[in-house]
Amino acid sequence: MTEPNWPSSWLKGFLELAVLAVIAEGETYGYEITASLAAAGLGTVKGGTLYPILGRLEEAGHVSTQWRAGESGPGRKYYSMTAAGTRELKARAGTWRRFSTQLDNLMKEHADV
Amino acid sequence: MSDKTDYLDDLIFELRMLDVPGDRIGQVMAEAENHLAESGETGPEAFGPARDYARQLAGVGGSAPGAKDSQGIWRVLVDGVTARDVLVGVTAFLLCGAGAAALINGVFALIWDLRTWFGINPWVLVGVGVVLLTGFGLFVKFLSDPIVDPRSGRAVDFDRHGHRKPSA
Repeated sequence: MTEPNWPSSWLKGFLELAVLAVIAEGETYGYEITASLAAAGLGTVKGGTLYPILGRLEEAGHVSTQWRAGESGPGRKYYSMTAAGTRELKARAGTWRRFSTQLDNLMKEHADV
Repeated sequence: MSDKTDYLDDLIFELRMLDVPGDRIGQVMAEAENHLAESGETGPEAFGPARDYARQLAGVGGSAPGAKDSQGIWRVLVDGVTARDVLVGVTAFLLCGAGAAALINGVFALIWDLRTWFGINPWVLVGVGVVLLTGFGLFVKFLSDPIVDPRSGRAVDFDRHGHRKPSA
């Protein structure tokens, strides 16, 4: 499966939302989030892009964090959703879906697929 | 010395220059180190240039006024020294200077039976000196803002060249 190379300007717009959606699926940590995003078909997200986003989410109160020791290896910073974050995700996901539906209607006749 | 160690040392330095608090620096350092260990990348590969990454983490867009530019000592002095820095420096100087002067004056007077300033009781001078110097010590400790590694709970030490000393 080829790795998608989505235009970075598109990714900029909704990467924060995608990260929030990944965290909503279960408590996770930085490197694992990059793996989940890649598995979701969003391509490779570098640490330099991800961690500032995580920092903003934490500061906004959308995620809470906890340092926990692993069974093997050093402690990691785990991220999980807060109630405010869950509300935010729900609202933004709804907005995104409405937006993308409109855009999709516009694109339908021009795309090959 | 590995590539990764140098990058993290640089990142820590850049974050210090941006006045990011010590405990936040510790968290950034630990997450970055963990990430590099798992991804197998070098610092620049994963995060880009240390200064740019530090600015992003500190929430600085482009060059913000007040953020210390690590390039050149003059830039640091001119752009980086704030009114708070001056106040801290003056306070530290007064506490340390006055404390030492009082203590020395009092001790010399006691040992060599010299006259003290304004004829104040030498024991009073010694007492005042000790109090001021203790105040100075607490002042420095309070301000020192150590970088703590959240994985170990211990403060990170640095050598003379600004490299992290490995923890035991």
